[in-house]
Amino acid sequence: MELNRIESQDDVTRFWREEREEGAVYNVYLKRVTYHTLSENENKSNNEFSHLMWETQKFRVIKAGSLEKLVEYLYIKGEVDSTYTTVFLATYRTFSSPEEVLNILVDRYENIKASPEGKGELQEVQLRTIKSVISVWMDTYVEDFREPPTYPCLACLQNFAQKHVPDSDLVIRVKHKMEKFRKEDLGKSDGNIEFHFNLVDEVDHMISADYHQPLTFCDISNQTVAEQLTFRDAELFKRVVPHQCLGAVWARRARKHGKGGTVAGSVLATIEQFNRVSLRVIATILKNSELKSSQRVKIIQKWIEIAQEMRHLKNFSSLKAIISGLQANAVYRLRKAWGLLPKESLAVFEELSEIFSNENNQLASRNLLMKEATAKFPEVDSSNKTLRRRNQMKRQSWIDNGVVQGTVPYLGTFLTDLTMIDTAIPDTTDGLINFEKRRKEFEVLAQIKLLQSASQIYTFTENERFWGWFDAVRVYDENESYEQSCTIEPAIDGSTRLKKKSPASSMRPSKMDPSRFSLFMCGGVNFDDKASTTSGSNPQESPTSPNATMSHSSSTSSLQSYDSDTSTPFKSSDACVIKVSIDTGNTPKSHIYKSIMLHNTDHTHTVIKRVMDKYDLKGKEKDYCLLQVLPEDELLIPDKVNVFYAMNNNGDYTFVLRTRKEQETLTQNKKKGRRKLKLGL
Amino acid sequence: MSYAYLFKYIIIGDTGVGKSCLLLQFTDKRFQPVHDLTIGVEFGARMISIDGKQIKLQIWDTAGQESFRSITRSYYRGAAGALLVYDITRRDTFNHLTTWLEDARQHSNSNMVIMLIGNKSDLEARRDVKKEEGEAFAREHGLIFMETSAKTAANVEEAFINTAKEIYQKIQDGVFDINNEANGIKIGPQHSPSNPSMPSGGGNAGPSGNCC
Repeated sequence: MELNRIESQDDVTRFWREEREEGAVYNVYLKRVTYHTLSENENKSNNEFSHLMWETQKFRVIKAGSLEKLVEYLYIKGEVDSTYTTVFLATYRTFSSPEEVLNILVDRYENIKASPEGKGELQEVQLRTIKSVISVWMDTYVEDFREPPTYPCLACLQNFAQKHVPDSDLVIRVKHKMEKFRKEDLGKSDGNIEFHFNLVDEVDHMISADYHQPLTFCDISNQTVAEQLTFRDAELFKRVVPHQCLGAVWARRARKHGKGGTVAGSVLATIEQFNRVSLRVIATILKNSELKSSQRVKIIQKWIEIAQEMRHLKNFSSLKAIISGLQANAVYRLRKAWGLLPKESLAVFEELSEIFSNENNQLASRNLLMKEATAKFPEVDSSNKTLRRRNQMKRQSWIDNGVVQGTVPYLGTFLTDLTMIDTAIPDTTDGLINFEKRRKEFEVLAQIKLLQSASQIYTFTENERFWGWFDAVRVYDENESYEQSCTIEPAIDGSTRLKKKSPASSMRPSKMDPSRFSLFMCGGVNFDDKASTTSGSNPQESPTSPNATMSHSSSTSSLQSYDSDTSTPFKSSDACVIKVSIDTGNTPKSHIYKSIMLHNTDHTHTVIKRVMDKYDLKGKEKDYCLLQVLPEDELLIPDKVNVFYAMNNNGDYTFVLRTRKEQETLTQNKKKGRRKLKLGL
Repeated sequence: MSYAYLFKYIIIGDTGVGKSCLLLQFTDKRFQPVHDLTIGVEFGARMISIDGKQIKLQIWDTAGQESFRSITRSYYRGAAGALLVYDITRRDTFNHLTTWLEDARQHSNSNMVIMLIGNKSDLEARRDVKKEEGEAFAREHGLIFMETSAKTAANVEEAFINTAKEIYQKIQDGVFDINNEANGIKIGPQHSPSNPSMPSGGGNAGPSGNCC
């Protein structure tokens, strides 16, 4: 009677205990396996229990071990444990070297063969397993054996094959590899020169602004840009060697330079391309400082459209690069241009930005990647009606034309995960290599591998003209781009870099050194202030919108003037003198004021109390409110704030105390007037 | 778990200065990579208590991504606190502080509390940057300063908690508008004020007052 294993709810695996032996620690699991006969399936009326059988299987998994034990575990059980072999081969470089591992394998092979039990059944299987592990290794990680000029591992392997399996294909394969490597590595020095040449080339472009450009950005269709970048990204991503992403390896990227590059060359190549895209987004937008905002916005819009194409192509790498370029400060601060962006483009930009939100450990992009990695098309949705309709049409056209998209992920997420795993889990436990850590790492590497296969699906070919344009774009470094950006839309205070985003003018960090003081005092307004007064008419305003205030805290006034960079004499870092007059509403506006010392610990009610005392006013504090008199308006100091920080630094610290009643009447009248003012700005 | 406030933190600084170590040390190594997302373990978060109030710290870290030009405003946006980290055994990481600080000031909320951290204080023998230099830099740029060891956990708690205290103080002082999430502060679910829909973009709405 045939026995059939059937999965049932009882077939659970449970951790049972830990087992230790010399040089290794194992986790032992118990698994209950249920069997029942085929005949039972055929004849349901049979007494079910009579044929039902189950057993508990015990199996153990190596958790930590010495290098020898870990290598032995590859073959010790007899047949190949493919999961363990895969994890081991993907991660062993973090605790050993190809040479070391190979030597142990060869050594064990020879020991087993020479031992008296060498002809036993188990030994036979073990020997076979060692050979197949070596064979799998060579197939999957051939680069491990590329060690010019002497190729010690290949030499060792050649020796081994000739001695023990002279008539197997291993001998031939090793020989081929050796010849192939020798040939390729000889020609490699040229490759290096070419690489350097490219670098120099790029620098040249940076120097010569009027480098001949065969195409201009606007000439190139969005589809071409998206396809070409995707073509390049996919090529680079396919070539990423997953184990170079491992936290321990990646952390050494900059420090350990081998002859042919760094320890993580394939990863760096991907990042370099990412940055090149980002820099070109910035460069194309900032390029011509003479351009009118209405023309510049066209370029921004074009990049957003290209980003949308990227989304459709499921290329998350260049998608993020473009978004990052658009969010670079030098571009983002170009308020006039962004202000002209059509609502719809802004909506697209915001939706695409949201993908890369860091919220919840980048949950959004992770979920998207999981969902779409191996799907035929992206699941593009939108809250915007027009966009949604357009996406649906696009999708239909893919289906109609049988188009299937590949995927390129943003590699950074994986690098962070692997860095975290590397930091969180120790390399060794009780002096043994912690293999559990490698299993965790492998889970991430396996995802990268899965996505690499998805990246093969694209069918684009290289368009040299495009790359001619791409490589010729003059890019700016951080400083240049900021300067260029300021030429387009001047910074308010315009001097040193740290000033350009001065902390909101009316409040300063409490711990501040006097030498920096002047810096905070001047440069009253930053761009965000301006935004808050102009963007009222923009219905798209949201926290991610360039028009929204980025950082404004409550009590800052939006009424600061632009040309106020006179520092005020009465102010130190923790106190200042303010002038307060009284407005009773009955009498004409008084020009008489009294000076009051304001400390950085004073809250609204204390200040009001002090003013009332000075003027000898009767009544309750809460019946009055304090307002700062600014050139064009008054700033109400809210009830429970620290006045020192809440007030506007650009005025000359003139205040007025008014009864709440009076204030309410005034507010009603003023609101209308001020709204007019806002729109007029 | 309920909390009065939620503060968002970010950690910045060069590769290899121990950013992820600091985070993991502070959050009890509760890192759950990709596959565990569904379990819903929150990464990079911890509760602390200040002034008898429960405060949830949510810490963002992009360790491993330093070479990408991707740390833009969306990363800085809405952070109430930042830990700017250098390695006391590597002067280059100290020299790069200005660049990081410039970046932070450019992109972030101006009220963001920045804590300067000289990490790896356990490696006294290999010290390359004097404590006084760190202090001087902090003084010059208006930062809080501390030397920590993510390895021995020395001062790690203090670094995160002192930053939180500073933020908390700013809330008390009315410097932070807690209704504006762009400030990196959220009010706990049960602590929401009666009028949470306060306009936050206009800039002149106080935490409790009306516009004039």
